[in-house]
Amino acid sequence: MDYQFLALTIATAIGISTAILLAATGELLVEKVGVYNIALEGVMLVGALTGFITGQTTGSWVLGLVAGGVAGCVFALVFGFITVLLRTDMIVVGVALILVALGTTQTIGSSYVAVEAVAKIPNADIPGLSSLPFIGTALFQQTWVTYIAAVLPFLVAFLLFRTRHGLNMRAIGENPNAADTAGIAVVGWRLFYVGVGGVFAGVGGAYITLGIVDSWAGNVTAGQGWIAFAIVFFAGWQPLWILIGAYFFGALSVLGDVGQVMGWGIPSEAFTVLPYVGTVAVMMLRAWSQKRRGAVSWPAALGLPFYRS
Amino acid sequence: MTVMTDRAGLALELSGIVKKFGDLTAVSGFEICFEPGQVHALLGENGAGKSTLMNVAAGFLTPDLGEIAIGGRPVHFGSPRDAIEAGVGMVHQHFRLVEQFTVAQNLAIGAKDVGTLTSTKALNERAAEIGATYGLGVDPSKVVGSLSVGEKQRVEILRTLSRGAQVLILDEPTAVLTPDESDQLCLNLRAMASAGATVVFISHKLNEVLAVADRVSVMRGGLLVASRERSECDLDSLARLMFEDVTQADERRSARSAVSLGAEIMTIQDLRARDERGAMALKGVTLEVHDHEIVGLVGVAGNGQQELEQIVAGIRKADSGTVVINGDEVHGVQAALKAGLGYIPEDRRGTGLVTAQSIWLNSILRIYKQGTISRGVLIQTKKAKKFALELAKKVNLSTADVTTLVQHLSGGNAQKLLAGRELEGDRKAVVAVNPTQGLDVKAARAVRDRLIQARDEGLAVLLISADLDEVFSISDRIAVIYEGQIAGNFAVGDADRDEIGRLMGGGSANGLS
Amino acid sequence: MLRSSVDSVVVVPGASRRSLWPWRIERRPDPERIGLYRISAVLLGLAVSLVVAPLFTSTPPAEFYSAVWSGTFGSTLGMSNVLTIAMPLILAGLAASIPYRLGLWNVGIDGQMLMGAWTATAVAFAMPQAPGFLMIPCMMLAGMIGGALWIIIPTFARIVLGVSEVITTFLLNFVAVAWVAYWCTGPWYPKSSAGGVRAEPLPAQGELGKLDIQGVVVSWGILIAIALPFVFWAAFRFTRWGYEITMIGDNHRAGRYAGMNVRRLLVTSMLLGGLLAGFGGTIYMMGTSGQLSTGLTNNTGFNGLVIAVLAGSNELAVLALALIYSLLLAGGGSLGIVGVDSDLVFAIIGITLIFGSFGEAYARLRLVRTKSSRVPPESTTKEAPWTINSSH
Repeated sequence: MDYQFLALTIATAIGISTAILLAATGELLVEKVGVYNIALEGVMLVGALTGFITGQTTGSWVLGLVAGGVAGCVFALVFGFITVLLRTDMIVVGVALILVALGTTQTIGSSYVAVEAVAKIPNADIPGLSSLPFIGTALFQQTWVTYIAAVLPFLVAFLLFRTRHGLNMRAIGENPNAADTAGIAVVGWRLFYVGVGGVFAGVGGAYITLGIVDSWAGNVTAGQGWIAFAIVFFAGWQPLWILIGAYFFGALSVLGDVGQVMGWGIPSEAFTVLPYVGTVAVMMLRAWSQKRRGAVSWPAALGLPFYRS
Repeated sequence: MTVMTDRAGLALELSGIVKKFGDLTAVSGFEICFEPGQVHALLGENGAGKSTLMNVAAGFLTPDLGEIAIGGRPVHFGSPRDAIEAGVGMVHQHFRLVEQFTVAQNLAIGAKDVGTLTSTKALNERAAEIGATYGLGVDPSKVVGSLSVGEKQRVEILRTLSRGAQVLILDEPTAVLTPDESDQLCLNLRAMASAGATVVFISHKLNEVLAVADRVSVMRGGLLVASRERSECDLDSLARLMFEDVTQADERRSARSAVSLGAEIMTIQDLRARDERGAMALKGVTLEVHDHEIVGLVGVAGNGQQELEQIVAGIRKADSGTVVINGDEVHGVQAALKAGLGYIPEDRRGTGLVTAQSIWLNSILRIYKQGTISRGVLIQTKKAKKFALELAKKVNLSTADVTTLVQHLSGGNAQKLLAGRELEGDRKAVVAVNPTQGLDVKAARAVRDRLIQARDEGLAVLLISADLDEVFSISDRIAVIYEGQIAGNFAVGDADRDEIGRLMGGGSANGLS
Repeated sequence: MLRSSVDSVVVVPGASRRSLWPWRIERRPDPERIGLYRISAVLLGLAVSLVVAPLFTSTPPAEFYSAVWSGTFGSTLGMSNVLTIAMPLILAGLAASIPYRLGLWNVGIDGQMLMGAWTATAVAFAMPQAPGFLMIPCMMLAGMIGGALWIIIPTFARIVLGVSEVITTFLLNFVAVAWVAYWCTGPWYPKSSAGGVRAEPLPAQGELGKLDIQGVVVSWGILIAIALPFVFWAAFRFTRWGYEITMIGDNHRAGRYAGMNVRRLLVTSMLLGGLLAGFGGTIYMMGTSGQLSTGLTNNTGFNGLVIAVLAGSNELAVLALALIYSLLLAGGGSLGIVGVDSDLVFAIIGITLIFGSFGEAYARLRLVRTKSSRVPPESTTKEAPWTINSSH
């Protein structure tokens, strides 16, 4: 067993998971207040393209990420206004916005296809820790974005479960009428967190074009937004499980490369499908176990538009 | 023993409030003032506009016209938040509590005096303090979903008060309580009023109002018809004010036609069943209904009625026990239908009728598989529409256009349609659950008359209701259900209201609990 | 006589955040003609996007529109294109709209179409010498079965375990693409590669013949595609099964009340969706390229979902909308000639859906002007204005 290879593989897996992790963490916040942002894939695409173009024109990956976040936020807020404010169906509008995102990013991005990124995100080795054998290569030679993404779920957990604001947020997601009567601005906070989710997903998207693939292509997110969405579900809306789920998928994704190198003789497509099949399988397992225990952990008002009544 | 701190509460003044919903004018503009230190009851039948008026006062609805004044100052409420901050809080029939949170957490939502970092201990302490301040005992660490209805109501009241509500409005608070809990609530309300709060008590129950109020205002058809001190009121005068004419208020039993008791049509034998959460909801229910008989099963909601009604209708499976209708043991909806059972469910617009579809499609909902309506795989539209038209005529439906969507019918008409469908045809028995809930007096009357007519025609009617008055007025026998068992079964002539009330709350038949 | 407000006053810092916004959104008490508003809004959206679209490209509007015209009504090639695109699109619309009647979302239509086509190809390759009149029905049948099988797992997950079918059906799309890619690059690798991920072409008997109506050439599969909405419309109107589905809608309680087997209906509607999708993919492949490829569907499934949602529970509306969208897609496709990415059309479709939502919102809601005033801080106190000290 080549340890160096294994360590590098783990490092790659962690890097690849970053985008999904960011998007999923953001979506967790969104869903905790009761909104389904199904257009997550679209948000990431928008962030990806904006980040890439900004990176190309300014040469700065920082600006690229920021631009990605802003674009993601704006796009997500469009979703927010149409669904939360106008009380339209979240699934319908989400699908529509994904189509819009697909179409516009393809069109605008057509001149950037397969162009290599000028401003790639550099690795930021943590001094000291990164020279540790094995673990150093595996864990501590990532980018800043990855480190932050790994820490975020803990911060989110703290916010949700240990602060007054978190209690209010969860109230909005469980029973918006109760929250409204208690004086919480339901619509306002829902929009706010949709925006926040948009920032996270937008940065995640930009990370893909600037940090993983290092270029632009038609469907560069390749369903990662959907996987992030699914992770929130089967993580049971618990921040720490989201962390695990995202890294799990990173791992599945690199399994393909591992397989090729190790000569396992399994066609690469089998590995391509692992994340998707894995998500479906885990969702089903989780539902089955929840059914047996009789527990339901989703925010009770998820997906329902809020009418004061 | 109460020690009152003498502070001035706030007066709530409403003038000229008008609120319309489409063509319907729910509230038509008048002056009314709720003073501090009093329990002020707002009395009226269903649909009189009481809830609408107070929802406006508490910021849940915006008035089309009119002014609200708190403590003399005019205010405008854009949301319930504004109202609470001005000191007006409302407790509705459907509680606004987060079931998944604990009592302490519910009291902390949106509160301004909770620290940024919350710990379970701090929240629980705070909740206990609030409970002590207002004299309502609660266990802070219990999950709200596990509380009884009375306890939940207490939490709801505490939440409203702890936000600084000095005007407390309660909408039909005793509708969901046992008689004991109701008494306790009334005591609490009187104590609050004595301490200086302004308490507004919305109700349609005359007896209750007389027991708890200092002042009574009667609404009818969106208008205020009278406002008097308690000392000036009595049952008859109030009844006369509430209803357009006395005979409507006088819901005495119609004389029972002299038909002797016939055969046993519906036999429920030792029924046991669990509810959704796995707890035992029915613990051995035995009940018989004969033809030409109305048996009224009365009880506070949540004592097993839902499970019972669903099992008899065939929607739910019992764990053990049998239901026999007209000689056939019944398992499943089709079997129940074949045995001749009609079923008027409580949820008339969600279960009994599909509101998004037309009248004729709804009319055949229970019989569409029969040869009269369908032939092979096809449904014969003409026959179905004809059936629907006849049905509509029989029940005096407001429209003869059977392609009208049910959602465009009024509540009364929808219920007429539903009741008609379930009582027509070759029925031997019917289960009717809260059939007059939410209907105005005329429509409720029509439904009750229809049930009586059905009984006279020979049906066995099982009326499951939470309305004691209704049960007393049309039943031949009264049974009480409490915690999944029959707590008493009397012929209506032998039944004593107080005793029934006690049994509903779990007391024993002799008044000893 | 009115009492004055509370005597002891404490100003609470940060209190009294008002809702200063004078407008509020409220539900209309009696929403009517929702469908009408929706469709008008869609057409409006269409018009708006067609006007705005050229601005996103570097093409002068005149060229833009003439390209669109010639790609649709302006030429027999254009019309052929429109009908060819419509063929799978109508089926995709039905594949989404039938489950949608019961509140189920079939987002995996593309995958089901691919799997249907794959299954049909497998059957064709298994009987390469069979005569056409045998091979074609077998392939169609295989396609239906393939599509239905592909939706079975999400159906099971939803009905038995309560797992959202939105995610499961969607993720299986990717699996389908990968599966087809494997076969196209492996066992069915074409002897002469023409670019793209394609399989060996079907035996000639497996290709559907074409109709030629005054120069408009299209596979005769279009006839089936156009007939099916009418068939289903009639089924929902006149059969017992149709009645049951109509009455259950997305509120299943009434169905249970009437003794219907709700689960069975949910399952059959999903399977029917998968079946129609598989069939659509199959006849599209048989009627056009004659080759299985990963790019076969080109988001037709997603577009079908859009159509189903806009059409409500009306199969004839599905047909009409599918034809309109086919015009759009054909027009968009021809934009490639003038250098515009044809994917722009997806954006337009998305925008029309959003407009449709606006239309529906307009029918359901209304804007209400409210006034809310600042309550002067003096009346807000931190202490309880009254307390009960009792031994209760």
